[in-house]
Amino acid sequence: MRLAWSFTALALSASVGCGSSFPEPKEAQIQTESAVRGAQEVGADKDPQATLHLKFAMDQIAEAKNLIASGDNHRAEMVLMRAKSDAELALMQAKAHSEKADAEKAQAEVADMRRKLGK
Amino acid sequence: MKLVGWLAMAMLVGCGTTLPPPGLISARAAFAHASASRAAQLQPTQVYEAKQALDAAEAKFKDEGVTPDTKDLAYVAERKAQYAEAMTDVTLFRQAYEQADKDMRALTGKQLENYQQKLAEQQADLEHQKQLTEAEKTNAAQARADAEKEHAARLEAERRMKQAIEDLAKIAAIKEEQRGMVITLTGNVLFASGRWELLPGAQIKLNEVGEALKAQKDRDITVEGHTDNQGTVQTNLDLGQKRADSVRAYLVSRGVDAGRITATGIGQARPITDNSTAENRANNRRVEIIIAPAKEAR
Repeated sequence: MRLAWSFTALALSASVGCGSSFPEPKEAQIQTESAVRGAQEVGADKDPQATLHLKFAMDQIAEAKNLIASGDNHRAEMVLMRAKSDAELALMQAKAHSEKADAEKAQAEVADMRRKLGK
Repeated sequence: MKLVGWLAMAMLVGCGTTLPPPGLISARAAFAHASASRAAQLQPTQVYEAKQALDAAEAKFKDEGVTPDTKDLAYVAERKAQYAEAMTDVTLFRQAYEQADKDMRALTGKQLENYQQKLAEQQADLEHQKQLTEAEKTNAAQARADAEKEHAARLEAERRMKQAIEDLAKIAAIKEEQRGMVITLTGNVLFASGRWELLPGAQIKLNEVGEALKAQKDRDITVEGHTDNQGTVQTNLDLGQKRADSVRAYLVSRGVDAGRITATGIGQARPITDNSTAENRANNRRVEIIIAPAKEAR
């Protein structure tokens, strides 16, 4: 679905030209901001890599807003596409960080139990 | 027209030699890394999406060269390859967690089994202790019953002894001395002069004595035969022995334990008074039955 959205944006870009009459990418902005909130809720701020990509996403959203304000909707949509890919990556990295912590904790508990049982 | 053709060729050659932007190079490397990793098996959909994104970037680069759009698409392609690997990490860590959870459940089961085994052992010990306690209680109750029975038997023996002594006191002199209780029977009542066979009336008295002695199972008994000083010392000693033997034999025949009773001839050696008168000599002719003190009292 995301790819379809991307290719549609590209096609529009190619046909319309440099964003002169390109529509404002409201849907892309909503989706990107939603992806950012998802990453924040998963705890992206707890993992350095996720934090970095989340920051990229937020900076790019701000950049896209400026582009929209200046009327360059095409560039804004492309920047939002980058922002969304960063936000999605931050979310998945945060999940991996959380899962890793859970697994390591569980493995430590198993090791502790094995010591207790003398195995 | 020819010039236009040359220009077009020059542009094509120029595009063909344009170096890919660093972002596209990074995207290619990221995709190569992802497709060589376990992501290819665990997250094929995400790897495929990364491939499509890379293809789009490559197409854009091929068509338009290094443009902002090409860079954007390359950027997105790199993120999608990284996304596929991050999702693979999630899967692998989740699997590690599930394995640890499974191990923990197995170990917890083992621990529970150990606890249950220990509990069963403790319960068995407790039951064993309980049984021992019950046995001890039974033994203690039996010991108490035995002690009470023994005490009752002792009281009964003492009562019978007291009764027997009271009966004896009617037919014989009784006195307590250091050597024990001394029952003195007058010789004239027991024997004819110079003889040692018991007179019929003597047997009635000795029956009373026998009953009293039978009640004293834990005491030694000595029968002593005493005479006056008429005749020789040896004759009197022999007569005293024979009379003591006669009394002992009769008492044994009445049920007194033969192992507890001894007979001794004293003769004239220990008179209770001088032999100057007939009355005194009659008093010296006697049989003394000495009941030694109870063994625990000695």
